[in-house]
Amino acid sequence: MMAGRFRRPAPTGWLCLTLLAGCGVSHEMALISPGDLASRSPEISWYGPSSIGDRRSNEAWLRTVGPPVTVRAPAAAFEALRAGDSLAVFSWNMAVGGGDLLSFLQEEAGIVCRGAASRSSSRYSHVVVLLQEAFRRSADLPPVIDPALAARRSEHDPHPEGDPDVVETAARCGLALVYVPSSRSGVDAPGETRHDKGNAILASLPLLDIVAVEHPFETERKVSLAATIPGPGGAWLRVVTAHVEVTSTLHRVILTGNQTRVRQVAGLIDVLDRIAGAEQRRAPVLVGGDFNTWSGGESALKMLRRTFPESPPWDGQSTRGPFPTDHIFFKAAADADGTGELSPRLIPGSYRRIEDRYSSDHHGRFVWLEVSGHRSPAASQPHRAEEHGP
Amino acid sequence: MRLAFTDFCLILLALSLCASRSVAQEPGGSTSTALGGAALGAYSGGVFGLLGGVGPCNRTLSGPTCPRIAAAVGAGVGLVAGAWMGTEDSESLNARWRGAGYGAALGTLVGYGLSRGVRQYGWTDVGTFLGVGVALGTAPLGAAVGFATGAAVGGLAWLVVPEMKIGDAVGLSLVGLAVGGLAGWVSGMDVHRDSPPLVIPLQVRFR
Repeated sequence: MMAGRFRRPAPTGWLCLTLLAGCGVSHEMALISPGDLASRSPEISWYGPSSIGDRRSNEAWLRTVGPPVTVRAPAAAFEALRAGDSLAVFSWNMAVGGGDLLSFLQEEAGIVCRGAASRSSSRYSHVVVLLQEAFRRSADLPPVIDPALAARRSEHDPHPEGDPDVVETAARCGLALVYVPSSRSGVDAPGETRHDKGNAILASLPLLDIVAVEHPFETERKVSLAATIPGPGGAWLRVVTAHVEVTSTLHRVILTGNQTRVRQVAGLIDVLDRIAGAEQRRAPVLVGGDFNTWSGGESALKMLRRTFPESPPWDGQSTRGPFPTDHIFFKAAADADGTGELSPRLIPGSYRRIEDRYSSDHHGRFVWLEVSGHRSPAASQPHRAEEHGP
Repeated sequence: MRLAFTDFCLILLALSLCASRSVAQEPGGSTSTALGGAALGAYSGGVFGLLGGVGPCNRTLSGPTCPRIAAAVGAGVGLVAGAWMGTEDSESLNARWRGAGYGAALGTLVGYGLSRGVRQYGWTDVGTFLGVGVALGTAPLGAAVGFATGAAVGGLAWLVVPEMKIGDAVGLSLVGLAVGGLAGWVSGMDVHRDSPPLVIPLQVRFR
């Protein structure tokens, strides 16, 4: 288990000075029963911190958001996954309503959005978009007036093609969708429809085995999201969209020894390892997200690179102002060729920053996978990749 | 040219030693002042160590072990320096207590201001700013010189080295603050002010 490879966060900070012990800071995670809360849909497997304090804080925020949205199969008739296909994966923090998701999908991902008649353009065979800070607009969200239980409202200019939320965008483009809100985006305001925000996965392929991971609490609730993409012959890829804290308070920094992102990432790795352990195989996993890192050498990134050894190397580029916040990590299947199953592999050199921010404050990240396994490696180059380079 | 981390710490230490030499009056102390000095020094040194470890420790896979070691080293240095000062130079130590009081007041003010304006800040953070203010107030000159040096080096590296990001520059600034603050305590052990001033020649070669 990954959790065993890292030292468990223990009392530090002021305790180092006083030589006392007891106020632990843990990243240990546990399966959570959805209970009777609508915002924890039983369609999804929920994991969260074992710590009672973290769990209470998360639940206070959980009560401010609406239920998750799951559209497991794309409404449009996209092609099924076959050997030799390519899979384009995008990861993007769309800054709530700031980012123009519809334009991103059409121009960057090459989706021709026509509702149930949507289709992929010739650029990519299949598309997965891992979103952070996606938003959903709904008058049915619980009322929230306490600003201590809501993230700051995002202000932005309207986009040319309107301002659809993630649910409407997925419907317009005929894509499968999983959306799990983590917090309200601003408290109730007169004359405004309520918003919540969180991570989402959009795909031109079905999304199964959905898992929500509530991170150990720092200053606001963060929920990462995993789903499995099935393929023929049992082939599959687990994709994860992750979002961790940008900075904690000085009190937390001192108390934990600045372990904010480390413990949140360790929690995510712990859950992914539990899932893999239960399946008793090394599954291929791709994690994309906004890790809010201030430096390319941060501990959280090093942990992820060690856990996902086939990750593309960081290109040294920042993705939010001067900060290198957004990254993609990958772990290939163990002995994929020996199993005879289809298996995703990174196409070398395909990992890059997306230059157009589409009105978000973040650049997106892109990586291209090939689906191999039934053919010899020489013959398994993706046909779309040969025809249309990145 | 990229300086190794150790080189950088040594340069900062030297600069801070030169900058924060205190003027002592040499009155002797008692057991109680020695204990008080040890406590104040250990506390302040521990906080300096923790703050200095924020950046470098967040590049390791050691979890909280690294900041704990940084805090322990800082506390050890502060303890020795504070005990020495309490034994040999109680007036200089009194000045540090006064500085701690000013630091506490200023830290409380900053923390309170943040708690009014930033959602996630509360009374625990006001208390934390108070605590950090106490430490900074005991060696303000060394901390300031160290922080400025760290910020200058970090800022320059951020501009020159593509892989260096702003987080690395912030980390270097805090390393500077910690080394400067600790050097401020160590320099307080130099109670014989009629001895020649400490001069450390530095040579930096660019290739």
